[in-house]
Amino acid sequence: MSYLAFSRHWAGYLSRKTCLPEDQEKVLAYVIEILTLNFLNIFFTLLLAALLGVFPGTAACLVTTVLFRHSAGGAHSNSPWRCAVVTIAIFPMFALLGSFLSQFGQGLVDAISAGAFIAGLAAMILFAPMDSPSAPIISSLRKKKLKIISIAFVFLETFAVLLIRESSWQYAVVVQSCVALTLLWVSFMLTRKGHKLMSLIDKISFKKT
Amino acid sequence: MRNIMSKVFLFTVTVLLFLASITAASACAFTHYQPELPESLRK
Repeated sequence: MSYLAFSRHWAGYLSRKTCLPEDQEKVLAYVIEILTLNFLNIFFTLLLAALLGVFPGTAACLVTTVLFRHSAGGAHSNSPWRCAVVTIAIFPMFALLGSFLSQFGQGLVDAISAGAFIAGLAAMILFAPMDSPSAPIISSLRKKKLKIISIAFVFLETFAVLLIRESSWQYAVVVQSCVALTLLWVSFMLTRKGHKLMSLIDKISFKKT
Repeated sequence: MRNIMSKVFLFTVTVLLFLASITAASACAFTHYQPELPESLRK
């Protein structure tokens, strides 16, 4: 089982201090890696968003992604560093695109939101939950539960967007378009084309020839 | 002092193992990278 050096080091240290068995040390390494990578990804994404002046839109993108990736899953990169680049680049980019689209008025943003709702609902019904070979979902009951949660999140998110739309919040239109774009992205990541895109990203080589 | 530190380590490990069981119950760990799930957490 391969974890990054810092996860193995911290897990080893904690398990020595608490006399944990070997299988529990692997669990510790796993959770330390998940928590650290997620924290760093979120921190640097929000930092870039703040520098670009699109903090609220990026935060909306992250919240939407966390909700859907938790229950629906999706395509993964096999490198934590490529994953970090994708995450840090893509959500501020969506926020920039969202604020650009919001300039064209409520009508366009409503049309994108409606499209995202239909695409999201179809993707959740057809593909969710999409697990990865590194973390397979074995139980069929759990698969069924995650599918129901994913579909429920599409309705919940649409309801939240409708509430935001009716509010007088200055970022309402931007957040609405960011949520719609993220739902489209999360839905795309469930499809075969989304998986192909991630495997293409995995094939990019940074080595000098 | 050593007693307090061992309790702190025990508490940290308990919290981390609890969080591991929560993350194992989800389809994916938010970002686009998924480390290998330990055998004992697979369900």
